[in-house]
Amino acid sequence: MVPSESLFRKNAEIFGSGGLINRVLGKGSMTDVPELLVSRSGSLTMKVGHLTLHSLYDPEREGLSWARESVFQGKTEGSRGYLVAGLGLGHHVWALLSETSLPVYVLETDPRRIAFSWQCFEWHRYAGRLRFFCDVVDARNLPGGLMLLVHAPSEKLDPDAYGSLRVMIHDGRTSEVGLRFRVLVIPPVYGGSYPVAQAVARSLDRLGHRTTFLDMAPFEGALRAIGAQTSLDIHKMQLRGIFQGFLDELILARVIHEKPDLVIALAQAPVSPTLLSRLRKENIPVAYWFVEDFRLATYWESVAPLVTEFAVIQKEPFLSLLSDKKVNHATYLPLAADPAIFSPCSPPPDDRKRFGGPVTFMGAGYANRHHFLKNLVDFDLSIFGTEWNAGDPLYRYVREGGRRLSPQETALVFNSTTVNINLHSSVYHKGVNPDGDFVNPRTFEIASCGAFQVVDHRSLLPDLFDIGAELPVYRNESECRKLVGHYLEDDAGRAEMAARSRERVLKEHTYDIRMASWLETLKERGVRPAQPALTGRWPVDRLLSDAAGDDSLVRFLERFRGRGSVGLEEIARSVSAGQGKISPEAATFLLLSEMGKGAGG
Amino acid sequence: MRDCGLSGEPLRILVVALTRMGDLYETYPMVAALRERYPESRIYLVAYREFAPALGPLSLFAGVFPVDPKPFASLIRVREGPLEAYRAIRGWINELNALDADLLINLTPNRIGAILGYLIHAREKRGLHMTPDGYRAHYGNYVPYLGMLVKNRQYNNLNLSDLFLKIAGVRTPSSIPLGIPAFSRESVGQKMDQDGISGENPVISFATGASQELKRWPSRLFANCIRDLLTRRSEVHVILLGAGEGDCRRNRAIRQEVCAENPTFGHRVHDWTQRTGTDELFAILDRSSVLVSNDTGTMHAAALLSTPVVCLSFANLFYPETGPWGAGNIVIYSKAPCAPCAPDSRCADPVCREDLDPRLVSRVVEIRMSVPREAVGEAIRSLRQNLESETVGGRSGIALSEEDASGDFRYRPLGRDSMSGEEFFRRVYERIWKKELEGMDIRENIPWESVEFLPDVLRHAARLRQMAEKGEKLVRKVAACMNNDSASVPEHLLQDLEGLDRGIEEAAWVCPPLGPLSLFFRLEKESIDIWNPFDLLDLVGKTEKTYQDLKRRVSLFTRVAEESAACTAGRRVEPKIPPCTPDEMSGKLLVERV
Repeated sequence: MVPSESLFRKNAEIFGSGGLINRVLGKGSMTDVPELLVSRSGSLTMKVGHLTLHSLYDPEREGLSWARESVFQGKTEGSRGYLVAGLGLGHHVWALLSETSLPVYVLETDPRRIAFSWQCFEWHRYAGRLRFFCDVVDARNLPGGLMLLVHAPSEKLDPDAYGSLRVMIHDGRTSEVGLRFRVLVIPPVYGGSYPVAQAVARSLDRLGHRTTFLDMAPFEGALRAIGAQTSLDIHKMQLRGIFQGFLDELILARVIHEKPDLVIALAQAPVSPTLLSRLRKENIPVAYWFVEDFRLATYWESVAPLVTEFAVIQKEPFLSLLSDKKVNHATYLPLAADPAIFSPCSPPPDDRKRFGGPVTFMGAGYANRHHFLKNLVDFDLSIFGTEWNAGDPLYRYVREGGRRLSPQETALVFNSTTVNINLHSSVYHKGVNPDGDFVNPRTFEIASCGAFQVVDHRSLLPDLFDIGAELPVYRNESECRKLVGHYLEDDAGRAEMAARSRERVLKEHTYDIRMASWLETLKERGVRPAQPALTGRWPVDRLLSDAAGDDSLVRFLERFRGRGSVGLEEIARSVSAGQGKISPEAATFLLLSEMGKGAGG
Repeated sequence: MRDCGLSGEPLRILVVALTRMGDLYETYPMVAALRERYPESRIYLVAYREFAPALGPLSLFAGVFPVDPKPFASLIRVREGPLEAYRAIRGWINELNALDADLLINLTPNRIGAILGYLIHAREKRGLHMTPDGYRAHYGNYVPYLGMLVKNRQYNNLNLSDLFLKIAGVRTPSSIPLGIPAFSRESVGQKMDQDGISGENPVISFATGASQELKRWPSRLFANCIRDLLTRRSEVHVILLGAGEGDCRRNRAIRQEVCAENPTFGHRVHDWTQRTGTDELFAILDRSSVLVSNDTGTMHAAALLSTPVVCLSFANLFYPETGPWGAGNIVIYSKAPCAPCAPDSRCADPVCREDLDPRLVSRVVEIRMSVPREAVGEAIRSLRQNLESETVGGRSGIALSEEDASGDFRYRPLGRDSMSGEEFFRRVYERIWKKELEGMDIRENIPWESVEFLPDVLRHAARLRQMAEKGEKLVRKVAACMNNDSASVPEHLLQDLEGLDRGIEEAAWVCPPLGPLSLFFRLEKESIDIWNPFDLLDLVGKTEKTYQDLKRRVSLFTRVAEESAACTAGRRVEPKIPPCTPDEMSGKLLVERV
C-alpha cells in the first residue's frame, strides 16, 4: 500500500462531487493533523496526536475483524445498509465492503483523513454503493434502515459531531454495534505482574473499553500475615486455601456486580481453579496473561484449561506442552511498556542525584543478581528494588532503603542513569541464564524512556529488537563489563542506540498494541460484547431511539451518549444529590433502581 | 388544611405506607383521626400488594393503590431495556397524581418513600420526602423524630401509632371504625358453636407465629402457658391462630403437647390455623377476651379492636415503640442485657425467649381478664396494682400501657424497672419532645432510683450546650461575611463548623443519653429544604436555628433531669462541670463512657 496521486484522482472523480472535493482539497486546521505510519505488518496506519486510529500492529486484520462483527450484527438486525461514522485511513471500511454487498455510507468529519484515504485505497472499485460525506447534516438525506457503525477511535476526536449524528438518525431500529468491551482486570495481590496489570487496565481504557481494575493490593497485608503465623508449610497452605476461598467469593461478587464482557487476569491473580470453573459455567470469558516462567510457576497446568484465552511470554517448548494438555487457545504475547509512564524526561538535579548514577540496577534481589552485580561495583553501582539481602555485603549499594519504587519513580531511575543494567532474574543461576527465553518488562520500559541499557542474552530478544543496533547484549560478566566500560564513555553511541530502541518500542511494543492485538485474537475466538439483555446493559443508542417522542426522557438519556451501553445502576448513579433539580425522569429511574434492589432485580 | 378540596369536592388524602402489615395497622388510628378531623375526606393508601388482603376491615380507606416491585424488576430483566418498566412506573405515578391529592402523608422511612414523596404531587405534604436536589426532607415537626428514634430506640417511649398521629398533625381519635362484615361474624359464631364455645366462655386467642424464627416464643412454652391457663380457669377456651404451613405445624404441635398431659383439654384448645380470612380474624379478635401474641400484625389488629393484648417481647421487639396501641395492653419483656437486639440481628442463641415464664404469662392473662376490656380510670389502677405484685425478681418484666396526660399511650414498666436509668431518660425525653415539638409542658414527677451517673451525663450535656452555642456564633460570622459583599467566607470558618458538627456527633458516642439530641440536630440540619444557591442567606438563617434549637433542648434536658433527680433524691444535685478545654471546644472530646 503506497499513497498515490493517481489513485487520489480516480477516487475524487467518483466520490468528490457535490462540493466534497473542495473540502478534501482544502488546507484544513493546524490541529489534529493526521499522520501516516507503517504498521508492523507493513501496511499503512494512521495516528492523530497520541491517538492511533488503527492498529499499529496489523490494521488490516483489525479492520477485517471489525467488519465481520458488523456484518454479523447487520444480518441479525435486518439492515438495509451501513452508515460508518469515522473513516480514519479506511481499513475497516475496506474490509466491510468486501464482507457485504449492501450500500455503505461513510461520514468523516476531517477532510484530511479522506484525502489520505483516497490516496491509499481503490475506493473507486465500489462506485455505486459507496459514498463519502463530511457534514453531519448530510445524514438527513440518507435512506432509512441503515445500521450505524461507529469507529470508536474516530469518535474520540470529535464526540460532539457523533452525538449530533445519533440524534439525527430516527429511522426504525438503527442500532450500534458495541465493539467496546466491558472489562474487569484482576491483578495479583502483589508482585511483579501487579504493575503489568495496571498498565493493561490503562491501555484498555485508552482503547475505548470500559475497564474496571479490581485492586487486590488491600489484601497484601493479610496474605503476608498468613505466612507469618506458622512455619509449617501445610498450615500455611491450609490458611492460604481458606483465604483464597474468600477472595474467590469477593471476585465473584464483583463479577456479578460489574457484569463484564471479559475478565482479564494476570499471573498470580487470586483466581483459583474453582473460581475459574464457576466463571466458565456462567459463560464469562476469562483471558489470562501468564507473564511467568512456566518451568518455575507450574500452576499454569490447572489454570490454562479453564480459561478462554491463555497468553504466554514464552514459545517452545511451552506452547507444545500446552497443546499436549489440549490447551489450544494459547497465544504468544510478549510484555511491553506503557509510554504514558515510561517516557523520556530530564529529572531535576535532586532527583537525578537521588535516583540515578553512572551504573544502576533496578529490580528485585534474586540470587543471580546478588552474584552478578558484585562484578560491577567498581563502576559506582547503585541498586534499587526490594528483597535484597541486608546481610549481604552488596546491600551497601542498595538505595532508598530497599523499598518498592512506584512506576513513576522507576522511570526516574531509568532516566537518571547513564547505563542501566538489565539482568533477567534466576533462582538457580549465578549470573546470566544461558537458556533464558522470555523478555522482561524492564527491557521495554528502559527503551521506552529513551534510556540506555545493556541486557543479558535471551532467546526471544532478537524477534523483538535488533541486537547490536537497538540493544547491546551480553552473555556473561565479562561481556557486561566491556559494554558498560565502553558506553560510559560513548555518549553519542548511547544516545543513538537508546533512540532506536525507543522508536522500536513505540512502533511495536506498547501495551496498547498488545491489548489491541490480543482483543482481535479474542474476537476471533468468538468473544464479543455480550447481548445486553443478558448483562443488564443496553445500547444507549437503542434507548434513545426507544425513547423518541418523549422529549424530556430523551434529554435525560442524552447524558449517556458515548458510553456504548449502560445499566440501570449506572443510570441511577448518574443522579446525584446537590447537583441541581432532579427531573421527574431522573427520579423515576432512581425509584426503579431502588425497587429493583428490593425485588432482587 | 381546609375541609373541602379546591373544587368543592371532599378532601383527598393520600397516605404512603410501604411498610409491613403490622405497621399498616399501626397507621390506622391516624387514618381514623384524619377522618374525624376532616369528616368529608376521602383517604387513599399506597401499600405493598402482598398486604392488600389484610386491609379488608380497614373501612376508612376509600381506595388502595397496591405496589409490587417484583413486576417492575422482571420487566427490566425480560425486556431489552428498562424503558418499559420506566413507563409502567410513570403510568402508576400518573395514576396517583390523577388523584390530585390535597394532602400527602408519607410514612415510608426509606429511599423509596422519599422518592415517591417527591414524585407524587399534593397541595400539602407531611412526612418524609426528598428535596428537589435529592436530599432527605422532613415535612413536619415529628418527622425527624422518626429518623432519630431508629438509632436511639432505648430513649424513646412514643408508640409508633401516636407518632404517626403527630406526623399527620391530628389528635387521638375517639373511636376506630372498622368494617367487619356481618357474615364474617356469623361465620365465626358458627365455628365457635361447632367447637363448643358458648357465649359465656371467655376466649383467649394465641398468635404463635411471627415473620422470623427469632421472634417466636418456643412452642413448648406456649403449650405450658396454655396448659397452666386451662388448669386455673375451667371456663376458658383457647383458639390458636395462624396462617401458612409453618403455623399449621407449630399449632398442631402445641395442641398435641397441651393435650398430651390432659386429654380433656382437647375440647378447649381449638386449632383454627388457616381456617379464617382477614375479616374472620378480626371477628375472632373482637370476640376474644385477650390475645396472647408474639410481635405480629395480629397484635396490632387486636389493638384496633381494643381487644386486650398480652404481648411477648424479646429479640428485637422494643415494646415502648411498637407495642400494641391503646390503654390496658400488657407487655411481658425479657430483661436480657442484650435485649432488644438490632432489627437486623441474626442471633444464633436467643436465650431471651426463655426469660418469659409461661406461668407468669398465664397469670398475667388471668389478671387482665379480671378487669373490663376498656381499662380506664379505676380499672387501670387496679390492673396496675395486680400486675405490680407479679414483678418481683425474675428475668422478665411487665409493662402496662396507659394514656398519659396529653392523650398519648405510653408503656410504663412496673416494679423496680420503672426507676431504671433508661426509663428515666425515656421520661425526660418525653417531656422534652412534648415541649419542643408540641409546646406542651408536662410537670409530672419522674420516679428514679439512683442519681449516681447523672453528674457525668450533665457534664457532657454542658459541653454539648457549649458546642451548640459556638455553632450559633460561627454561623452568625458566616452570615456577616455573606452580608458584607467585599468579604468572602473564610475557609477556616467552614472547617470549624465541620469540626464542631463532628464533636456534636461524638458527644452522643461518649454519652448515649445525649444521642437523641445530637441526632435530631443532625437530621434537622441535613433536611434544610433550601437548594437554590440564591437563597443562601435563608439557608444560613435556618442553619443558625438548628444550633439554637440544640442549645435550647440541651438546656431543657439538663433542667428536667436535674429537677427530677432532685425530686427523687430529696436534694438538689450539683453536677461538677469543669470548663471546656480548647480541644473540647473544637469538638475533640475525650473518650469517656457513661
